[in-house]
Amino acid sequence: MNSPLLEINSITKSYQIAGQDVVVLKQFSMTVGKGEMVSIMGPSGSGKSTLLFILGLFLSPTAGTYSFDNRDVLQLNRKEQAGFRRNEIGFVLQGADLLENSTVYENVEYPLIYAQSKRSGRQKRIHEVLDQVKLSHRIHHSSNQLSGGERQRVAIARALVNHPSVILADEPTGQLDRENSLQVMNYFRAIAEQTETSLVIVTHDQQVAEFCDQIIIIDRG
Amino acid sequence: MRKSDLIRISGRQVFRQYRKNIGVAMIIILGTAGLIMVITMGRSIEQNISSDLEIIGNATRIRVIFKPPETIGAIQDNREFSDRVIKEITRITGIEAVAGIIRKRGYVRATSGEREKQFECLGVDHSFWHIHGSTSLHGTLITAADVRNSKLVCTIGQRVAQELFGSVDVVGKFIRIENNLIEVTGVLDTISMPDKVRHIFLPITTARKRLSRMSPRNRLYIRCSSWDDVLPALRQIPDVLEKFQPGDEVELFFPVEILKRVKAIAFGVKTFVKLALISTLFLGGFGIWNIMMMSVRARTREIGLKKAIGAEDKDILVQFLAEAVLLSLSASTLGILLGWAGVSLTADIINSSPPQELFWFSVLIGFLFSLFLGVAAGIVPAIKASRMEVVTALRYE
Repeated sequence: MNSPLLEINSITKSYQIAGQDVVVLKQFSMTVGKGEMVSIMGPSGSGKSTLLFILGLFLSPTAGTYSFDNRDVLQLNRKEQAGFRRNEIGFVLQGADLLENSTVYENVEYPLIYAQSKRSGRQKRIHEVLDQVKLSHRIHHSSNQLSGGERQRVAIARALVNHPSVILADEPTGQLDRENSLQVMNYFRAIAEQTETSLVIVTHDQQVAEFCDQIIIIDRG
Repeated sequence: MRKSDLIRISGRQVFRQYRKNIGVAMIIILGTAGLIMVITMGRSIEQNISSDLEIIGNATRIRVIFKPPETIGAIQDNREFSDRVIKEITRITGIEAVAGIIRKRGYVRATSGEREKQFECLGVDHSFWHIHGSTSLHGTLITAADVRNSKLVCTIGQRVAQELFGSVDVVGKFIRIENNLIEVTGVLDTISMPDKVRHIFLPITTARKRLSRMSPRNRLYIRCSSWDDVLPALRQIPDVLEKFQPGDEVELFFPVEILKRVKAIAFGVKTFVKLALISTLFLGGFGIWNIMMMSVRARTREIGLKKAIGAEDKDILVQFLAEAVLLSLSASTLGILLGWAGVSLTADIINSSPPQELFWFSVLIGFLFSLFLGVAAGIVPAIKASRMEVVTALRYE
């Protein structure tokens, strides 16, 4: 394994539901190296998505540690968390969430807007990432006019546009057919190899998981 | 987020949602246009109302006469207002017109053909009509040219026409007074001066030259531009007299009760209109608030997504706030254009030219009010959106 990028140790996450503690993740640990592809598998309700949200700092764990590039990121305040997500993480969410009534270009541009990157360099970068996912010809199409596979590729381009250290993908192939699923996973593989970007992919699909360097199975936390 | 990006993406959002926003935008457009019209045209309309009320109550008319001499048994009072005094009074701010009159002592005997009657007779100048809000029933009233050229013409009251000619359609006919053959150029309406239906009006210059036993010009009628000008004028007129005709004390008469009532009515109407317009604008504000609240709910996943790709709380806050402000300001800009068109049209209709600075002042007020409305209506939804937790937002169905 390459040098570790993110490391979580003994992470526990529990919720108070109707006055009772419900443990979703219990003493969970994992390490992801630079450029490594890791898949997280497990049955529904096993805490896969919760783990992804903790890695993206959307949720705080009840206990445990989380270090990213040797930084304790659990100590970051709300503003720093947003900066961390902007600069270090690319998200590919379940169902290829795109901004509706916006073009492919606009969808990919948003992370650059929030990173306050110069407008002069944006267009070039957006074309680069859309070329990577072979969607340059759809650049001015509305997100509503895209197929499921194309939407997922736009989401990948958007995740890549700020040069993240890690891409967190939640069921990226969940709504795609076999052909499109394989295409998406090939993109991920290429990204990991070419840019040393790490990938953490939550999936139900064994074939998708087998594309990865490491498979972690969670069973009820 | 850069300001240019903020304006661009907020503007894009407002434009793309225009179907949802159109109702609220219309309320703001009409409210702003109305506000501009009321502020800009308010004084002109007030002057017009004042002019109309003049017919009923002479609310802006002042009558000036000399104080009666204190010497008991004084037979002849020859005091009169000089041309200089009339000129100086005309120059007082808020005074629109001044007319001096002379009157025939006793009655004049007027004949037309076989008929001969006695009537009262006044020498007037052309501003006398404007001051009294008079119009002609037939023909024309005495003009400036008639006064300047001392023409042998007259305007007569309705009863004079009926008694001398048996009809009111008498323009071009002649009456004889003290061996002067005088042409009738018009018949006075009966509304503006109902007490003068048995009067014959001659140009003041003609009356002085041609008729005997005419009084000096010892009575002035003054018309103020609006009722707000009446009280300041009342304070300044005696000062002018003191300066240019020292020793001649005057009495001033004006319909104080009518003035008070007219002012109260106008204030009530203006307040009602302003309140209605402000309510309309607040309704627009409430509409923005409602749209933004609904928008926050409808765009919950969008908010979650934006936060997931790196937006800070303040990025979301300023975007929602900017959308509300842009919606309000763009609607108010259209309202300003509509208001401008309304002002031009109204000014044409009532034949008035409102001051440009008042128009720009109303534009500024409309713009600032819309800005306030946008911020006030947008701030709560914007805060709500910015504080949304990413996980909650992403899981929102």
